[in-house]
Amino acid sequence: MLNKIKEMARPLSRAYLVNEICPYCFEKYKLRQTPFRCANHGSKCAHRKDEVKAKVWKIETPTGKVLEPTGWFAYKMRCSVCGESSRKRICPHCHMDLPNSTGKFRNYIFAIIGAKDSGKSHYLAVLIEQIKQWVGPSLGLLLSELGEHTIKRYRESFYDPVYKNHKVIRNTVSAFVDPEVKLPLVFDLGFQKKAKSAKPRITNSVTLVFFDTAGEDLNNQDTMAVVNRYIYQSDGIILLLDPLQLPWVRDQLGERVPLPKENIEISDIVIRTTNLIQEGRQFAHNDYVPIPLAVAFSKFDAVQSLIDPQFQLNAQSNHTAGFDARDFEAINSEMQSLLSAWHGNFLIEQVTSRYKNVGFFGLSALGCNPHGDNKIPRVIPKRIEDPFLWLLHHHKLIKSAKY
Amino acid sequence: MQALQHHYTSCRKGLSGSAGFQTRTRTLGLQPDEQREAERRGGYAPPRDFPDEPTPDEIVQDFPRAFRYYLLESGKWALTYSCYVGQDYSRRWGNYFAHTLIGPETFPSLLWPIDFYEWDGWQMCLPAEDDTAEMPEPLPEVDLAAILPAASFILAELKEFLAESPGRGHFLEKMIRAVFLGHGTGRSLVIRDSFVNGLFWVACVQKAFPHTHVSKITFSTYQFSDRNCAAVNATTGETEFDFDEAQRNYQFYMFDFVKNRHSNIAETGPDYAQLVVGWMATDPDRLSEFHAFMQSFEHCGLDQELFWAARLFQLKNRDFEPTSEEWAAIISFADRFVIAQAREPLLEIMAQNLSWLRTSQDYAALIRFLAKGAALSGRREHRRLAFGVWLAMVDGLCVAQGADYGPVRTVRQELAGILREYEAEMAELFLSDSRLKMLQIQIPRLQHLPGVLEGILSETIESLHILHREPIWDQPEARMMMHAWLAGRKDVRAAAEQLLRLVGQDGKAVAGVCAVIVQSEKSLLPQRQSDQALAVGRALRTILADKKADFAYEVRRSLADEMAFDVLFGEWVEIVETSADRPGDYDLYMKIVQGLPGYKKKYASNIAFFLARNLSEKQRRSQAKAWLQTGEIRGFTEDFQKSCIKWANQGLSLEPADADASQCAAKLVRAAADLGVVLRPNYPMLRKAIHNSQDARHTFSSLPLQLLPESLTEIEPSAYLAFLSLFLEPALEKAANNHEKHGRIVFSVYQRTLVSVFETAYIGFLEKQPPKELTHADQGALRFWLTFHDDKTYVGLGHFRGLILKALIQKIVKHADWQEWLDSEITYNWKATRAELAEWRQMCRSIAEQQRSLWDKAKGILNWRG
Repeated sequence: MLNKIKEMARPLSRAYLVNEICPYCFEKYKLRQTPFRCANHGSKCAHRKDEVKAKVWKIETPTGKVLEPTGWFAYKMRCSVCGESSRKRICPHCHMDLPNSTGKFRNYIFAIIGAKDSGKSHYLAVLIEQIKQWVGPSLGLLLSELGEHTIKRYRESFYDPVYKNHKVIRNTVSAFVDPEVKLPLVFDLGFQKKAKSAKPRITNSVTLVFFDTAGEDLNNQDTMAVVNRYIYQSDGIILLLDPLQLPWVRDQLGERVPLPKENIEISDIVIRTTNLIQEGRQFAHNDYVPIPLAVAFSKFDAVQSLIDPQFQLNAQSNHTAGFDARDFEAINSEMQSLLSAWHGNFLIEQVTSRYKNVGFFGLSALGCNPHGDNKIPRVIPKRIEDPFLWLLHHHKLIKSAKY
Repeated sequence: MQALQHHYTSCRKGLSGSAGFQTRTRTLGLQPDEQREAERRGGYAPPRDFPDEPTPDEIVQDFPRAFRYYLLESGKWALTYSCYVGQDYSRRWGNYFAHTLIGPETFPSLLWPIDFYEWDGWQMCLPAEDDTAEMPEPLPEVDLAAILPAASFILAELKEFLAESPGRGHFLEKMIRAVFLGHGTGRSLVIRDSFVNGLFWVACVQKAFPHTHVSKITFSTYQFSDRNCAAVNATTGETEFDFDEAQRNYQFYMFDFVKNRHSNIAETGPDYAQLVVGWMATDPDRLSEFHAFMQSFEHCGLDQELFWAARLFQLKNRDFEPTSEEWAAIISFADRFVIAQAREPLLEIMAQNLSWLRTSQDYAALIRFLAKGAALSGRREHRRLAFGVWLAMVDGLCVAQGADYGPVRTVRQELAGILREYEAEMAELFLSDSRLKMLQIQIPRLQHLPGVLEGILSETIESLHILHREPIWDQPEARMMMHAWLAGRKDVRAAAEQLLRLVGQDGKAVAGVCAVIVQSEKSLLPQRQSDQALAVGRALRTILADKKADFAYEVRRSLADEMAFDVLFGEWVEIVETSADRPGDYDLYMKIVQGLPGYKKKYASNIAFFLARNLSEKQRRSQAKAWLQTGEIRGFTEDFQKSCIKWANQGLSLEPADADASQCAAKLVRAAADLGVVLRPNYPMLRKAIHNSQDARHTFSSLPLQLLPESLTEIEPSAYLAFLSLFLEPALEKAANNHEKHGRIVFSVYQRTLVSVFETAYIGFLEKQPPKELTHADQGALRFWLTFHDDKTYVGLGHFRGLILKALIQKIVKHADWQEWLDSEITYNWKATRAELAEWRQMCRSIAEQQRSLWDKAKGILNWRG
């Protein structure tokens, strides 16, 4: 009962005190300022073009009437035209539908960035599935999509190509070309408590907001400032780096592995990202960036031959009893030593000198290198959840494993 | 006309400096915002149900091409040809190539965006050999004039497309309606069919609209996303469009030829869609002509106006007869949107066939349009077109059909406003011989159409004015129309008033028209000439009522010069009859008449007489005194003077202090003496009697008592009472206790026909005597009335005597000493007869008894002496 009251009172207090951030446009707002959108059927309340949405998102499709806010917090609002109550809350700035968890749970925004072909989309596709299928159940986490857009987009653009069609995901188009890329994937992460005599029960939830980015949009500082504003608003950054872009690694691997085309300098993205955060949050140049940064080397299966077999990196991670902090420490050290060996000291220096919390990871989303034929015969992810769990652990959302 | 180019694809090297999707190259001069918009609009995703890894042949043959037309925020137009490429340099799938042409703000003349589809300059992919690490060269500008229109989309081909499958025309109509609707609702048109059919549908929709409207009809021949749609979208296969009920009914206008489910679009009778699809399906040349015709208009909105444009085109080809409402809309369209160069030919088209003009609105709309056109062109023949249609409106609508002339007049005023400098041309046309002959023939008919006749008469006068043909009332055209106007009119006044209103701006003309009416032949007006003049004068009053004094003076002066005194008098008659302050208006009028000596000399008496006749009795007496005082009376006829003297006499105040009345009385006496008028009653004499009675210097002997009986003849009760109230008391005071003098006064003023008035006045006199004093007047009265017995000479006084005596004795018996003294006086000094004494004593006893109290009476009965 008390919990119920708390649950109801939480949005009320937040409505007046807390500045929420829209996961679409990243403008701040208070819950009491949010308009609603009439959710009635088009036959009963005529759909119309939402001018704000059209201007910000170029979405001109007629949609439900915008019900302007009264300035007082409301759980729902009645449409003045059709009289129907609506709970569909929208952002006062961009008029995108806000997740229905808005105001109830805190949003955690995680940015997945990396150069073109670094495997961001594949990472996201497999990470979600891995959390849902394997890591989540063992840690008592329940990840589920919030909203039709996330369900549809995750299914069509991420899951189906990898798990159903066993093919490489098509290039992510620039957010300039396809505004949909700017729309986040929003998930609800529920924390289950296993009672001895009863079924598991969700005791807490957080909203996870993932952004996939086209590598092209990280090629230019100005572009990033326009389409990747979420980066400096985020609660954690997973920077995916393709080890096959490191010149030393390419030299070592030679003809043994099909190599991707040489792309942008890894350090360029780090610099741009750091600058973007500093400008966006108005930090001084010598301030540490407080956003935890997970520097993850993707496609690690392709450089397996360059790794000492004794390394912890070769083993599968085991977070069944909580975040394995000892494993993280080992991996973090090993990755730094590897980077150092691969002539990547500059990267270590770059991130450790600017970010307060940095973790180095090595992972493989697909477990194979599809550069030759774009086929994914079988998805065998390796250590893909490490950076994500590290970020959750950093935010104290999951506990450390006790061994 | 030059266009800029832009290439976007995933490549090794482009403007970003690194690999990936980017603007590979563009024409120098392309603005960053335009480039960004072109990048955004060029996006391409293949249908989901198409092969993931197609062969190059499959891509070329099967994959839809997104050919898009849109407007940039800078106002320029852009055409993007976006094709699926398949793998990029990294062999990853999903690459596409978007080639965009960015043109200036206006689209090439007589071309539709779809005509650029088959341009051989579209680049559909980046050849592998060109995808190097070298920075590509900038693209050259493209000469749009060198691009040939797509042969596949000429109207003849579209006709064939529509004919390929039954019902396509019907669907196209709906699609066009959807475009119109979507313009207001924001719902885009989405067509799902095979790519080629989609291409043709887009071409059909686009070419259903004139070239001038292309900017409104953005399109995409292949649309994947359901978010940023163009106005017209074709799509194929599985895309983001769900084609579900919600999208079909509320978000888009959908025509899904794959599943044969379409949005429901209401059909509302003949409309633009029906017309153009009819042309496209059966007569492409006609549609082509329509497209060319629309070059004459500056209309580019997607609204109902387009329908009127199409109707206008039909009208030009004489295959349509509009209703009044349609005609108004068509003219309105033409008027608002025709370009300057095209207005002239349009004038001739519009004026070529007037047979279907039915209502005044039909004519008015056309005339306005022609007038504006004529004003712009400045050409005489165009003006003649406008004037000609107006004359046709007069003749065809009013004369022939008897329609109300009001709209004709309104249009005339509008015409005059637009073609102000050319009114003379219009007047000449109106007064042309042929028209006058026609009107002459029509006069008997027009006499039954007073509104029309009035309008034509007005127009005739106006035209004569414009042509400076003066005096207007003497012009044969004017006379003809005026006579037509007056002929047989019973209400001359109304006829005259309307006629005078027509010339109401010119004083001389007003006077002239008055004269024309008065002098009209007897055959025209059945009334006597003087009656006509009176009626005209009355009408003149109405006309002059709201005119300035100068104007009215000019008219009256002219009428006086023409000796049209009857007309002027008629005006006075109307003034008097309608006035709220007749004496005041008389004074004002007489000031005016001062300036018209001839009229004054002849009509002064009539004017005064008519006034007097219309005044109340009181006003009349007052006015007569005024005339007497001012001497105006001398200008009147003798009879009227006598009447005035009588009225003045009756109006004379008896108040002795009224100095004016005294003066007036003197003049009245003189005037009456001069004209031998006997004053009855003689108010001056009564005034004199009052004056002498009240003046202490005059003694009783100076009272004109012997003249009073005659002077009081025919006096009214109120005047009689007034006289007695002023005269009786001071006169009786002068008589003191002399009962003979008292009696002379009573006899001189007594009027047997007004006994009650006399009683009231006399009793009033007695009551004014002090109650505790036995005055001389009391004594005089007692003695006079006690000894008065002449009932035969003074009928009525006998009865009155008893009343007076009773009143006097009632006062006396209250004082025993007075009674005793009087008893002695009556017995010894007044030498009363035995009967008179007995009567006195009897009355004293009787009245004393009546005055005893009940207590005294009771004591008497009991014989108790307390």
